[in-house]
Amino acid sequence: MEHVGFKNKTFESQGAFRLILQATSNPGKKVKFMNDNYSQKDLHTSSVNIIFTLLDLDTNVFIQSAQENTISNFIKLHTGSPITKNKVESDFAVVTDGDLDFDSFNEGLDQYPDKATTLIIQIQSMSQGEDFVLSGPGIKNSNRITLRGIPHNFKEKVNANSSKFPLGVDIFLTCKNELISLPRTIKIIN
Amino acid sequence: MIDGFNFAYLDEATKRMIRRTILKAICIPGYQCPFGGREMPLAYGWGTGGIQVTASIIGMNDTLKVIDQGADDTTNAISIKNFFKKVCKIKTTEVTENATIIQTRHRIPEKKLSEHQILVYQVPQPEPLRRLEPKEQETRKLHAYEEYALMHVKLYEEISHYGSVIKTYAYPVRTNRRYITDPSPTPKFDNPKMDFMEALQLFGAGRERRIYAIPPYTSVKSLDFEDHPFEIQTWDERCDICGSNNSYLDEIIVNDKGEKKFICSDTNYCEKNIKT
Repeated sequence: MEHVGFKNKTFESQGAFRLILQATSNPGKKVKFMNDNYSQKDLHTSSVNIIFTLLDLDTNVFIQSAQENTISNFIKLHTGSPITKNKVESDFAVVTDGDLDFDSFNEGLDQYPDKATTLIIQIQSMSQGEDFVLSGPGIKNSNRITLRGIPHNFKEKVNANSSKFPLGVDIFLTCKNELISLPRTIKIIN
Repeated sequence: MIDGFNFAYLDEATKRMIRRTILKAICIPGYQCPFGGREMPLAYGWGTGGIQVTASIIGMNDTLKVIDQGADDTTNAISIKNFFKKVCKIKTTEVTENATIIQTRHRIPEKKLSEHQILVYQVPQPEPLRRLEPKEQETRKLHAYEEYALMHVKLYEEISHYGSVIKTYAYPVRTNRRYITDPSPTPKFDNPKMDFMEALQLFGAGRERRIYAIPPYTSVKSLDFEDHPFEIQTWDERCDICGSNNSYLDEIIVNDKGEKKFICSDTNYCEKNIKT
């Protein structure tokens, strides 16, 4: 890539944002980014789309990855975001491998729950693996998703997170060019 | 597009900040998210909050509808539509079901909205508790600790003084059984439409610098008491133009003798009714 961020910043970030918006207002719905040319060796297309669309100088980013340096350089180059080693300080966290606990991140303050960290968790599959049934605002009845390569005890962790509402982290699950959003309001019922 | 302006007027950094705020607002339904509201080329009170939200989500493929008290052809609606035509060159429409984004000032269209639509409200005062507690530090705590007794006492006092809750617009609602939310000054007639609405609802308050949201399929209940359930307005009259007896009616004085008529507030709904 010879450009910084999206090639066509205005329209590509608008298009990507609308997909992220669609995913977040319909939790469990799989949305697809069509601009495959942005994928990296360590970052999938959907992770890069979120990074280019939402990150900038004002967002602290925490990275958990075996390729931490490469990803850190990529994010610094394309968004200018400060990288932090402190989970509680992070506005966004990019996680490509390894287990993680949601409650070690910033879950917001009683009076400012919007200060919570948004996790971008890159997983292995959204069509094979374990089944989960979701329920909560944005979902008509219930939504079934299938995931592989997620943090251990995923169901318990998601439900512990949503039981803290209005506090809690918000989650983007990314895989290849697909995205599923799990806001803190969402419970896994099965 | 005119030269010297970015698409949709706002610069990309501002849009990014507003987009992050919108996402957080959806994740915490009914919570008022602070954002860095920008000065817009029109005065506060004319929809600067709604315009900033619309400008941050709109793209070339969108079709925009703007209504002012249900009407497509009033000053505020026409001006905002012209603004977006100028800075985005997007398509606009008056037909509710053809719009992908509907920006509104104080009405929800009579036609049921779908999952593919986004409703953007212009909000003058996002804080439902403001008249009861003027300090922001205090109202913030009241929301944080879910301390909503003040609001219930207010409604109770209205019932004990007047026999019923007298608030007919900006009637407070409870979003997702948690935050008390201001539905913007829409008539309470529209409150039931917000409950489990299929469309995403975004609220922008420019002067107060707050954005809040209600995701689709989310519980939105108007506050009431078991023995004084919430009720919407009803009319004995029908619309003088289309004859509708189930839409929100505006009362208009038609001559110097004070004679009056009732007409639909939603002009697009009224027009369709005449045709069929």
